[in-house]
Amino acid sequence: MLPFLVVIPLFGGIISWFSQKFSNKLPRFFAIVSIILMLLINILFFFNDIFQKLFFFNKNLFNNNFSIVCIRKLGINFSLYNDRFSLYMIFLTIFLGMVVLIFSYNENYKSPGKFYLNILFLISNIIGSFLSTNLFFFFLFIEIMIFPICFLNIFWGDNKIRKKNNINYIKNFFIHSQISSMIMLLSILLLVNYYHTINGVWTFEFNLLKTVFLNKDIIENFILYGFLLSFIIKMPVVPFHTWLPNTILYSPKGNSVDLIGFLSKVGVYGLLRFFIPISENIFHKIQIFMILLGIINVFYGTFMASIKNNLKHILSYINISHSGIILLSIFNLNSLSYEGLLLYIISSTISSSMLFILSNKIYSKLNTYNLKKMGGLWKVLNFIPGFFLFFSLSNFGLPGTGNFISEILIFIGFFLSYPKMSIFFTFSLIFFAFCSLKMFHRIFYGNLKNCLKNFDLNIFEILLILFFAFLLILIGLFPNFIFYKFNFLNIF
Amino acid sequence: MEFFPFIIIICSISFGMFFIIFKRNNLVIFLNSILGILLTIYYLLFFKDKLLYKKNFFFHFDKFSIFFSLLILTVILITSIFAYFYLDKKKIYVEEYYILLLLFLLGSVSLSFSKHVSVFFISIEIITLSTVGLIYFFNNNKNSLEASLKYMIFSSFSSIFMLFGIGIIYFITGNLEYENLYLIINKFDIYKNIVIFLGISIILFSIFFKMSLFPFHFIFPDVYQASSPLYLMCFSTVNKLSFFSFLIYFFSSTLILKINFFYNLVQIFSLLSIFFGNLLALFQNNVKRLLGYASISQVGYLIVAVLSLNRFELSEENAFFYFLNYVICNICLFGSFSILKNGYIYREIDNSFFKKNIFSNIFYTYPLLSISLFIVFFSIAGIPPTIGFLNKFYILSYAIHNNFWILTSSIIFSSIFGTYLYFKIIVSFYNKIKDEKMYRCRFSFFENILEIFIFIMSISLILYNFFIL
Repeated sequence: MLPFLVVIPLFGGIISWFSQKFSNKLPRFFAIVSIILMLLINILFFFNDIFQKLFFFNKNLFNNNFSIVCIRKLGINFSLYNDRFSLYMIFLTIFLGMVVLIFSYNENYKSPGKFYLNILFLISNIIGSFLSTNLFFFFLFIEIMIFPICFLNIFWGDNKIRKKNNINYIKNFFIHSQISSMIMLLSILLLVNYYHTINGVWTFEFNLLKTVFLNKDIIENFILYGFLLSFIIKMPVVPFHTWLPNTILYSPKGNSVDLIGFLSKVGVYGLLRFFIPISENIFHKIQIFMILLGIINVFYGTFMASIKNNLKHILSYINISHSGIILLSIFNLNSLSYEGLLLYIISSTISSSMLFILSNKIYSKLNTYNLKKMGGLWKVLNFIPGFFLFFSLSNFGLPGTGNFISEILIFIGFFLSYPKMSIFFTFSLIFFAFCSLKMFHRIFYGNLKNCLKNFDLNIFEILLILFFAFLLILIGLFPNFIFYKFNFLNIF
Repeated sequence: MEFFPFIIIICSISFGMFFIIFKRNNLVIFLNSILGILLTIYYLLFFKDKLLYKKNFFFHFDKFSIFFSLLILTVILITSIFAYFYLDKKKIYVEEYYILLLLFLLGSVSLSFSKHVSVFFISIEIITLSTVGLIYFFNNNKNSLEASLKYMIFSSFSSIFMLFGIGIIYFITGNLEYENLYLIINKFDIYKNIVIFLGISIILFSIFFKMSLFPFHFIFPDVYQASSPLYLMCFSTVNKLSFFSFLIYFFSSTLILKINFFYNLVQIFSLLSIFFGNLLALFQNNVKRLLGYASISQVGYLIVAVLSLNRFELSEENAFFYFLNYVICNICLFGSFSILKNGYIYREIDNSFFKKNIFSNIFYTYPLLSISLFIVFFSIAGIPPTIGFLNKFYILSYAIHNNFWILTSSIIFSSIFGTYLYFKIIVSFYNKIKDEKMYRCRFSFFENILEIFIFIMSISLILYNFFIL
C-alpha cells in the first residue's frame, strides 16, 4: 500500500487534467476524491494493528518497507520506508492539501485542470520525498518539486499585485532551489563514491550509507557541509532566506500553504533523517554556531515582522523565525528538545498555514495586503477575526495550545545544555508576542477605513478551521497521544 | 561487399542528377533519395554480421560505427521527409537540395567508417562543401551569405592545418593507418618525440574546430542563426555524430588516451566548452543563436561521455543513450521550428526573442507541439523525468568517481545556467499576448502528421527511462 501514497495523487492529477475538457467543475471533484483516498490509506497506516484485528487485513498490505530494483549496477532501488515521523509529516501534507483544495473551491482559475494537476503533482512529490530512503529518489523528488511551484506562481500567481517584477522573484526562488539541489546531488554522489572506495559496492540505500564512518578529510567535510547547506537553504535560514517572502506574496491564493507547510519542512526532515546520522564528527564543531544562527534567525525574523507593512511579509518573516527555533532544537541534541521539536513542527505548521489562509480570505474582500489600509475589521467580519486571534495567539505560544507545550519542552532542553544562552533567548518570546499582537491590532481594531458588506465562510471551511483549532488545543492539553508508538531512536 | 552502402548512395546521387537534367520533379527525386537511404539502412541492418569482421584497407566496421551510421541515415531520412512537405509549397527550383543532402550523407557515413587518414580527409572535405551549399540554400539574407562564407574560409583553414598535421605524421611514420600510430608511438620514446605530439594535437585541434568546441566555436552560432531549421536538423546532429564515431575508433585504435597529455587536452577542451557554452548562451537574444551556444556545451558533455567509455559501470549504454537523446532532442526542436516557419510565428524568431516574447501564445495555438517542446527542453536541461537527467547523473558520477574536481564544478555550474535558460524559454510558451499577428495559421494534413510524429518522439524521451532501468 505504500507506493499508492505516491501514485494516487499523480494519477488523480492526470485524470483531473483530462476531465477539464468535459466541464470546469470536474477537476476539483477528482482532486478532492484522490486526496480523500490518500487520507483513508494514511489513517489505515496509523491504526495499522487495530484495523488488522478488526477486519483481518492481510499483513503484507501494511508493510512498512517497499522496494523495487531500478538500476542494478549502481544499486538504485525505488525503496520506501514508513515510520511514525514520516507518517506525521505525510498526514500534515495531506490535510493541508485538503485545506488548499477546499479553500480554493470557489475560485475560478483560468484552466482548473492544469492547476489541480500541478497541486497534486506537488503533493505526490512531497510525500515521495518523505517516504524514500534511497538517496537517488529523494533527490529526484526534491528536484521535481521545484517546477510545479514555479508554474503555480507564474500562471496562477496573483494578477492584482503582479507587475513586471513578478518573474524576477520566481527566478530568485528558482536559482536558490537549483543551487541547493545541485549541492545535494554533488554531496550524495561523493558519499556514494566514498562508500564504493571502502566496500567496493555501488549503493544509494541510506541504511547502508550511514554505516560509513567519515574521516576528517576535505572531501568528507565537503559531503557533510554540502548536505547542511542544501537543507538550510530549503528551510530557510537567515542568509539564504531572501526567496521566501516574495515567493509567498506572489503565489496564488491557496498555494502559499503548500510552500510553508511542506517545502520548508522538507529541509527539516532532510536534516533530521539524512544529516544528523552521519554527522558525528563535525557535529560538536558546528553545534554552537548553528544554535547561534538559530537565535539570530529568531530575532531577525521577529524584528522584520514588526517593521513590515505587508500582511503576507509579516507572516512569512514570523515563519522564518519559527524555522530558527526548529534549527536550534535540532542542533541542541537533547531528548526533551527533540520531543518538543516534533510537537513544534506539527503545531507551528498548522497555526501559520491557517493564518495564511485567513489572510487570503481577508485579501479576497479588501484587495490589499497593506496594513495601512486595514483597520476596524472586527465590526464587519463575522467568523474570521476570532479564528485569526486564536491562531495568532497560538502562533506565539499561548498556554493551552500545542505551540506552548512544545516551546516549553524546547526551552527546558535548551536550558539543560546551555543555561546562560537560554535565559537570553527567552526574551524572544516577548518579541513574538509583540509583533503578532501589533499585527492583530492594526488589522482588526481602530477605525474602519473601508466600507464592506458582511461575509461568511462556508460550512466546510468553518468545520476545517474548527478541526485544526481543536487539534491545536488537543496537542496542548494531551501531548502524549502524539507519542503513541513513537520512539525517537527510530529517526536516526 | 563492404563498399555496398557507399555504392547505393552514389547511385542515388547520380540518378537524381539525371532526373534533374531531363525533368525537374520534386516527388521523383524525393522518392529516389528515400529509396537510396532505405536500401542502405536495410543493408546495414541485415548484413551487419557479414560486415563486422571484414578486413579492409580503407574502412572498418564495428558496433559503434554501425550504430552511428544507422542514426545518421535515419536523421537524414527524417530530414528529407520534413523537407518534402516544406519544399512542396515553394515555387523555386529545389531539387538540388536532396542531392546536397545525399552528398552530406555520403561524407558523414564514410567518415564514420573511416580507417585510413585519406578517407578521413576526403570525407571531411565532402561534408564541408555540401555544408556551404546547404547553409545558403533558401535564404537570401545577408546573414546566411556571411555565415556560409565564414564557414567556408575557416573550415578550409582548419583542413589545411589538418593536412599539415597529417604530413608531419607521415614524415615520421611513413604510414597513414590509425592502428600503426600506436605501434610507432610505442617504438620511439614518445616523451622525446615532440613532433608526433605536435602532429596529433594539430589534427585534434582541427577536429575540435569541426565539432565546435569552446575556443574554436566562434562561427557556429552564426551558422545556427543564418541557416534554415530544416538544415539545422541534420547539421546539428549528423556532423557531430560522424565525428564522434570517428573519434571513438580513433581513440580506441591508436590508444592515445592512455597518454596523459592527450587525455588532459581533450578533457580541458570539453570542460571549457561545457562551462562557457551555457554561460555565453545566457546573454543571447536570438533563440537560434542561443541554441547554437547551448549545443557547444552539449558537445562537451558528449565528449565526456566518450572519454568515460570502459572507465565506469554502464558507460557504454550511457554513451548510446546520450547520443540517442541528443539526436531526438535536436530533431524535435528544429522539426517543430520548420513546421512553425509556415505560420506567422516563425518570422519573428530571428529578431530579439526574449524582449518580444516570440514563443508566446504557442501553447494556446499549437498545444501538442508546445508540450513536445516542453519535454524536449526538459530533457536537454537534464530535469528528472526525462532521460537527459540520467545522462547528466552518470556523467557527474563518472567525474566524481575519478576525482575530476574541475570537471564536476563546471558541470554543476553549467547545469544551473542551463536549467535557468531553458526555464525562461518554457515560461514564455504560456504567455498570453493579444496581437493580431499571432493568429493561428492552420496546419495542413501532412503538417499535422509531422506534429504527431514529433510528439511521439518527445514522449519516447520519457519512456526510454524504463528501458534503461
